Amino acid sequence: MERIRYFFGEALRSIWKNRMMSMASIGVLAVCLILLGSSLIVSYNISNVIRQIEGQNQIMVFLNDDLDAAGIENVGDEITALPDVKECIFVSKQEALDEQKKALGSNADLLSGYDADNFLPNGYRISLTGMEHFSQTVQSLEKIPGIIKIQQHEDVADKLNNIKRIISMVGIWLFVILALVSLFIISNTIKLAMFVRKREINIMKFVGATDWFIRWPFVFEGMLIGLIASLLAFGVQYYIYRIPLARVMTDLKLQELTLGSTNIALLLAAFVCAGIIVGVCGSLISVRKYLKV
Amino acid sequence: MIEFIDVYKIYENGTKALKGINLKIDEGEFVFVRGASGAGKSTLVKLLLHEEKPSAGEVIVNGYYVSKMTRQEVPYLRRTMGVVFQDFRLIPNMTAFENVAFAMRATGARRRDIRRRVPYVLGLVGLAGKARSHPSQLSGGEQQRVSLARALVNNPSIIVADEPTGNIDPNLTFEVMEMLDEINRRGTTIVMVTHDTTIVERYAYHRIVTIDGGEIAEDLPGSNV
Repeated sequence: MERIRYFFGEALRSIWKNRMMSMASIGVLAVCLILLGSSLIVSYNISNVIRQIEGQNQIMVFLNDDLDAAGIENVGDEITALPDVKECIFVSKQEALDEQKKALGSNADLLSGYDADNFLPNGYRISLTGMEHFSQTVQSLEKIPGIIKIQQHEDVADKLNNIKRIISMVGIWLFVILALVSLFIISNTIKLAMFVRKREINIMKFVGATDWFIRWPFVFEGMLIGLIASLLAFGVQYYIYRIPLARVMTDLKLQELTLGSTNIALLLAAFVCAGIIVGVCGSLISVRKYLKV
Repeated sequence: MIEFIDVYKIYENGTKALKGINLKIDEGEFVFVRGASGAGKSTLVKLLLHEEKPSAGEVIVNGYYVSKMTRQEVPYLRRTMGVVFQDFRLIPNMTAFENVAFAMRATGARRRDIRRRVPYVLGLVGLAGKARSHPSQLSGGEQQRVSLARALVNNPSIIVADEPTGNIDPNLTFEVMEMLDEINRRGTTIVMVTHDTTIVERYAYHRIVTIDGGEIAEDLPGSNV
């Protein structure tokens, strides 16, 4: 216990002594972690959106305007007769227009001119019991006369999936590159710390300090740099996620960024682990290479 | 106890530093190792500290066989010895107290024991009042006494002093010598390496081993044994 306190104290002293280098190490590592965190948060949210879209299990079909009331009902019966169809709700032209207006909110009057001359078709909103036979159902729907368009969300989900893949790929590669840069900077910081204490190390050897007794403070130093960087990164990340990123995402009509408290805890844990691992590895590189004790 | 058995040391560049040294130093002895520079004195010290390994033969220090030691054992060998260097090797930004405490902490000593032991050892070398001074505020003799205190603090059975008076004003050498004498009287073995013949002659009642060209040229037993 007392030893750990000693190693810790030595590490703190050393960080303070070389504060410029320590700050550089902490900064780069923090940026690296923020990038990792941002790409994780964005991918996580896109996955959420995708799941939501898929979870809706809905297909919207639009009807030919030429159909009369009986024709519309006929189509409805045919749809209901299909397997996997749970519910089939009629959405009239007027209802469709009202929904669009609602979606526009304060800009609803943009559509006010269309009340008399509604360009929106009648349609049915179909809920399925499951997604397993989704494409067969779509094919069957295509065969029903009177249906002019089938709107499904699959392509949206696909596009989002692609975006998510790209974001995570770029995020991970940036993380890897920056992690290497951090490793390099941290190992140099430790090397400098050892150089500053060359005399002390030499004397420690002569009075019979074990190799690990000499090494530990430097390992702790790397660990502390990692820990400080991860906490800093987490603070900044939290702020970023709260404000600008959330705004961008809502502007893009994606639903608001969500991160449950468990996910926040996970993110913190991931940051701390990644930070400490990079810090310790950085210091071990130098300790191995330059501290021939 | 120190024993050199038929020790040879040939450096990689071909220098033959030691050519068959046989030397036994008993517990509690005070031995001068004298010789011109290049005679092999420093090699002898390096072998004692396991800074170098013998090319042939064996060095036994306090039961450790130097040529057969593993890296992990070296620190424990060094803890049985205290070393005093010609250039003191004090840490400039530490006070006298901290310099001595540092050596004790390096062996994993508890803080409580350090606080108790360091003032005692500083008192032993007559520097109780200078515990808070930095090396730059101390005279050469005082600095060497701090380094002596550091060598003593871990309670070694042997003190190896490598030219301890080399960097000290000649008028002040006696204070270091008296100190070594006193430590020896308390039972610690002292091996003092020097080329300063005046000192050796003044303290000629100790054993004097003369090294020349890597061999023992003369071994005069002390008169007060």
